[in-house]
Amino acid sequence: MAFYSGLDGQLYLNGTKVGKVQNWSLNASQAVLETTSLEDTDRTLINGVRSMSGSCRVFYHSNGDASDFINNIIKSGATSSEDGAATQSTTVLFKLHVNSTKYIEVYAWITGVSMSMAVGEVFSVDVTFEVSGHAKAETL
Amino acid sequence: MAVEFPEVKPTSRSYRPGKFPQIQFEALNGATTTIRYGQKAFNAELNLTFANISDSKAALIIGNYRTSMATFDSVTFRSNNALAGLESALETYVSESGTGLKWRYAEPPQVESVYPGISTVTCTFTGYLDGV
Repeated sequence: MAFYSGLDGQLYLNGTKVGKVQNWSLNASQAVLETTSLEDTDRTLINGVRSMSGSCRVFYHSNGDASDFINNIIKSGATSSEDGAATQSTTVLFKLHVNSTKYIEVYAWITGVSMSMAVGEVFSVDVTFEVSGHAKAETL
Repeated sequence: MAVEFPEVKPTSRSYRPGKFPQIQFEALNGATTTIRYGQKAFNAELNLTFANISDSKAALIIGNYRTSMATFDSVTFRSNNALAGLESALETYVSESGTGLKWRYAEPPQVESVYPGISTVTCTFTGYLDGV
């Protein structure tokens, strides 16, 4: 039996290993639909839609790891302040590893990138994402 | 002739008894005169919601609507369908038994698809006083 820690964890973005990941998290939830009828004394439920969302923190490094997340959601190219048209965002493929063989792979939309610069801190990027569809692969 | 409602229990229900046939005149001095044209109430209202039911149960309700309205038949309710959860005293009133009112669909049922194979159906009925 073995336990797993941050020492074993990895994160891949679109097939490329992200080198400066500090943490990642993934949440899965199951929506329910209430079917309680007027004669019932206890609530009854059936399954609804499943969903997954997650987040990760990546140190901003000259190797460009954090830039891949940032550039997915922040697009430049406006010719004037009234030009609202730029390249659209695309889904990305996350592969979240517990160790080298245990992972979950999902397609997701990056829904948020949060950055702040402060004295005494390493510049990092907090990323949030929403999974689209079911997992592509999973060996957890 | 009446058609029985299918064995599907509602998730919510609202009932309003019928009104009595009358008109009221209010004079300028505030005095009110009422003329009553009959002693039986009419146009009772019953609204049923069947939330998150299977599509097969929703189809039973639509089938009941088509069957009853095609021949202008009334619909009857029981405790194993629209009257589920009512105590007997109130069930007597909601079923309108013995009052001469007959329940008919006031409008077509509304079906909302919620999830694959799951729908929410809302039905509205009016208790009509037929040919009295």
